[in-house]
Amino acid sequence: MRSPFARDDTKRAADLRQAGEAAAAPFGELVAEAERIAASVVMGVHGQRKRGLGETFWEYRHHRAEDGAQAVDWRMSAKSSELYVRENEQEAANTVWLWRDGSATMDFGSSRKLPLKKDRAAVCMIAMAALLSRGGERIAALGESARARGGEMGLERTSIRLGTGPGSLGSVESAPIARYGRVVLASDFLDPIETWRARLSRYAALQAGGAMLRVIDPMEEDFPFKGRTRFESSDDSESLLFGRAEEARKAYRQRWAEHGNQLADLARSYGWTLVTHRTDRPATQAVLALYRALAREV
Amino acid sequence: MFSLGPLAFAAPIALVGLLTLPVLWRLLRATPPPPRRAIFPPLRLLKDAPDDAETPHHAPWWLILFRLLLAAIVIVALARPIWQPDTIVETSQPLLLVVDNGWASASAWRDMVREANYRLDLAEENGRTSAILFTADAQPDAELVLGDPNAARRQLEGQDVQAWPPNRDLAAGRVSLAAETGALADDMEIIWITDGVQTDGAANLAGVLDPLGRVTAILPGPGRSPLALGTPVATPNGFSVEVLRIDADLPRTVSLVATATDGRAVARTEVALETSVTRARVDIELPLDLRNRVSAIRIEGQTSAGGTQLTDDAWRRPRVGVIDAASEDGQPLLSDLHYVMRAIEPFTEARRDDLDALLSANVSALIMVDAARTDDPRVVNFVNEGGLLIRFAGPRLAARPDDLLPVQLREGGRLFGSALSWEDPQTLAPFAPDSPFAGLSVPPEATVSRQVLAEPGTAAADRVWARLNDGTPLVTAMRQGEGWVVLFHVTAGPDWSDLPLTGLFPRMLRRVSALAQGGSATPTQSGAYVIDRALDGEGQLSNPPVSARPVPAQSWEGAVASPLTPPGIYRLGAASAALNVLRAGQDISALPRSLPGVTFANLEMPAERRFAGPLLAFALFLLMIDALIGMALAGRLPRLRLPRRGGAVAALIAGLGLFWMMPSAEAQQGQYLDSFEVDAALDLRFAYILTGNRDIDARSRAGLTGLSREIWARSAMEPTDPMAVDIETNELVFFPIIYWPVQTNAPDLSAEAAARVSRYIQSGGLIVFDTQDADMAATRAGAPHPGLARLLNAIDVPPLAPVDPEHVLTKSFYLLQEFPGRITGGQVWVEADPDGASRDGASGVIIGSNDWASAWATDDSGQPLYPVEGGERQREMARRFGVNLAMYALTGNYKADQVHVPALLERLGQ
Repeated sequence: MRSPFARDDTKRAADLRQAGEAAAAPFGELVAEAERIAASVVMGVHGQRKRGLGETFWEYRHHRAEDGAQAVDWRMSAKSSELYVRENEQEAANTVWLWRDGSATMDFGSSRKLPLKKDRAAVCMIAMAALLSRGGERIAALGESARARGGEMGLERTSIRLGTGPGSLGSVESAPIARYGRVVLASDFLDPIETWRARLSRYAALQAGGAMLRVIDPMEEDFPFKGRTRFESSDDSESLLFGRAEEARKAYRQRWAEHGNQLADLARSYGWTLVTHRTDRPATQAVLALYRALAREV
Repeated sequence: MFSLGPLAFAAPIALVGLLTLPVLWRLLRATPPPPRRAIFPPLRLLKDAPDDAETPHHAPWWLILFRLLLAAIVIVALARPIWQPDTIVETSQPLLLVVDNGWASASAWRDMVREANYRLDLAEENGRTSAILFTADAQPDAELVLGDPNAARRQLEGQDVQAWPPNRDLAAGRVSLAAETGALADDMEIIWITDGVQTDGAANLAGVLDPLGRVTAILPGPGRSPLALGTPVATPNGFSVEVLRIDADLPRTVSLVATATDGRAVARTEVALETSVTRARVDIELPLDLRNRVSAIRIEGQTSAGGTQLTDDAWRRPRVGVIDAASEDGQPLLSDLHYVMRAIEPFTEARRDDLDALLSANVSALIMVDAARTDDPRVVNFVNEGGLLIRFAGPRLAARPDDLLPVQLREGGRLFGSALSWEDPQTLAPFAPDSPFAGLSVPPEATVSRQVLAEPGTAAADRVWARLNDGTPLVTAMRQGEGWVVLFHVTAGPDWSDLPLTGLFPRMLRRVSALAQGGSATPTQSGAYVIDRALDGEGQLSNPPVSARPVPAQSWEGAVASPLTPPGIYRLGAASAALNVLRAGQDISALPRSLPGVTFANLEMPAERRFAGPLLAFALFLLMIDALIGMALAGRLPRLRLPRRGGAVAALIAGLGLFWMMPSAEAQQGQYLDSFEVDAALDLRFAYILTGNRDIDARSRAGLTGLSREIWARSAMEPTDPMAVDIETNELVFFPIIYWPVQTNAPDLSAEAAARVSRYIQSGGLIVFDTQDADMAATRAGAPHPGLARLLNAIDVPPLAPVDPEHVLTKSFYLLQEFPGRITGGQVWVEADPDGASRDGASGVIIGSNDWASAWATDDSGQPLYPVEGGERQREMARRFGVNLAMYALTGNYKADQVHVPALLERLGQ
């Protein structure tokens, strides 16, 4: 299929990475607010709303005997007759799992001017990865990264996997993630709703939440066909012949809308956010929407 | 054959096929186009969508129409349509084609060949044998025998128009010989494609052809009948020439051009031939210098050997004989003959000898001074036959006038300013405007003290060419027979007047000798004239054909154009003589319509056209378009999106194709100017030739920019930025000066570019060639600059000479004696004889090696870019030279006249 990105894997990863960073550029630091998760206590930049080891001030409390003399905050204690101890907020980094669907239906772009859905999804995911890692989050490609990493190295590795990895559905269905992890799925979500319900239920069991980026090609939504047309599936496995394609348009669009609604309902029922993105729109729109979605989950 | 107006069909049965079109219509409607393919990922959602599935989608109406048109074209093509068919009777007679390919066929030759080919086509179609015969064949030795029309066609392809007239006697001989040997049949269809000009053998040929079958002579028709040019005759003010034609049905305007040896046009004129006028004479006024330069006179537009008159040295330099006087006393400064010889030598081929020798040397003018006076009747004959006789008066003529005089003379003559006379010596009156001397200035020191006097009443005004201030004739002239008699009423020496001592005298003689013309310039010496350049059938000089033979000098008079003696320029030693198709006094006349057994027809312009082939080709083309449309509809042409009015476009394409097919359709050629030409034409600009070397090009540009700036500052000329010219592609005519840096490895010019450069020089342009290597020229050790030599070989450059100190270039703005550039001392060359060109005396090329561009070059702020050998002083001189150059290019020889300013001022002061 046509793609504005190079065929060579290394080059392709670099290209996609560059496009992703460009899409991420307009945003400030994206710091995804972490849910309160007791289990994952890796030090990071998220305030855990409780005292602990960290850098930002949390509260002063009265000195207790077990604290020892070193714990006294002498400057505060000097103001009164009590001894105070300065407590900082517990801080931890969150882990975000990114997944870009690599199935055959994603390998599609209706026009030479438009990118493949797969590439656009990769661009959005890498943009998110860039923003998240700059905000101190740890990121990983779902099912492909062995462990989540932060920083420049994490971004580098995750970008390569997002850009060129297989993106198989098996990752969504069975890849191990930590509890309370955050997940961003980029796909066209063309599979039947029930299939997706089953897949998402697994995350609900892990108490993981996140966002779904639904990438669609304008042709899929608009259905601009007329006349005698033979429709073929992406993998050439089946085809449908229509004598007058325009007559099928109304029914198709109705089904398309229905599918979209069901998808939205599904997302809502699991507490996910669904972001729909057409490939003829700028990628930054999708990234902006995802940013908001992750930021909202406070 | 079935015909519709001018359209006929050879196989009309095939037209029945048109009836199948309605069936085809239904068939095409029923067949849906192949489906468009589309990859569609959400195919699952589309399953079971409502569709009146296989209800066939009709092909679009315009596609059906298009396919029907395609079918109709094929059907019509199979019916073998013919446009304007000739009503030829189908015959089985063998075909004999007789084709005139003499000079007179030149204008109609293409149509004649087409006609011949068409006749051969007909013969081939009917399986007839045929033979072809050319009346002006250069090698008439091919066997005349009936055979395959293809063989005749090959002969036709091998033939071209010849420069000589057809030899129909010879053709008749060949036909009768072939008829006797049985190579020809008894009853043939004989087509004689003729030029329509009568020759001696025409009747003979018709007589031979008549018994062999029905003879049809096909004439070229009114528009293409031949034109011929008579022998030019010198007149006092130029020359006159006669245009001849055979077909006087329509008025016709013919333009004539006289060209010099180098091909430049010297004079141009038009002759209007009224209806029923077959010959018209036109006078062309031309100064003697220019007239002498004429090497050929042609009918423009219709070039043929007969429409061309070549001139030889007899035309250009009159051969003047001075009759020797017996009683010369050996004192040259007192001898009349001495003054005459000195006066005429510069512009004539003067010869001083006794009368016998002179007449046998075929002089065109005789000068008879008083001492050499003779009553020999051969002199009268000489004049009557077209010679020019210039006589001078003297004591003997004053004592006893004779008959060979323009006016009757009074005996005794007249004496002024002597001891016994009250009158002062007389000066000359200014010349009348109708006199041949008009325009010559009369010096005051030319006084006349004695003269012979004309009888009052005999000196009619038109016979008097010059008068004294008191009105008495000084030079009289008269036409006698074909020639002229001119009498100077004074002696040729200083005895009677100071006229021979002044510069006026040779100028007057020069004007008079313009009347002399070659006549026959052949001296009766042994030897033979060998052809040098031959005229071809198109009237152009080219290499002589192998058939040409030398012409013995004795028989030169009787030579006529023929394969053995083709018209052209012949040489015998240093003498050259021209053999023209039409000799003096010869006329052309139309072929008489009374030839035995010949019916006449005109070469019809719109001959029939068969276009089954082109139609089928067009149908194939449409089929290709149809395939493309089919692919586009099936979505297999990836990026072709049919416009919504696809039908209209297809119809337009088909319509254009048909338009192209129509016989009369001729596309008008449009020309648009690109921005280079617009830029170049709208402002005065200098130009430089791109060499491909970036450094040199940048230097040329900077040099011309700097020079333009200097010129803008210093003179009234306001050149804008210079332009770069690619010599292979750009037109040059816009630029007054083109600076051409020449490198040793300069590439060869293409023939087209060379022609453009030559044309530029001829049309008055100035090219400055700069080899930029004066400092290194010595290393070539005298060898020519290889790049320059290659260039100059390719273009037509007149002879060159170093700039002489009086050249206009030294004074066109600044007074200069050197032309330095970055380097100084390199020799600068200009045209040796700028007056030799028809360009007002300005040289068309200047060649130097001083690297002027470097000296002129400045940057944008006006600072010099390159160092100059001799410092700022030399840079200033280089700029002055540049200004002079520009002035020279724009004003030509204007400043040359300024040489006389001191003398003029002095005279005005007096």
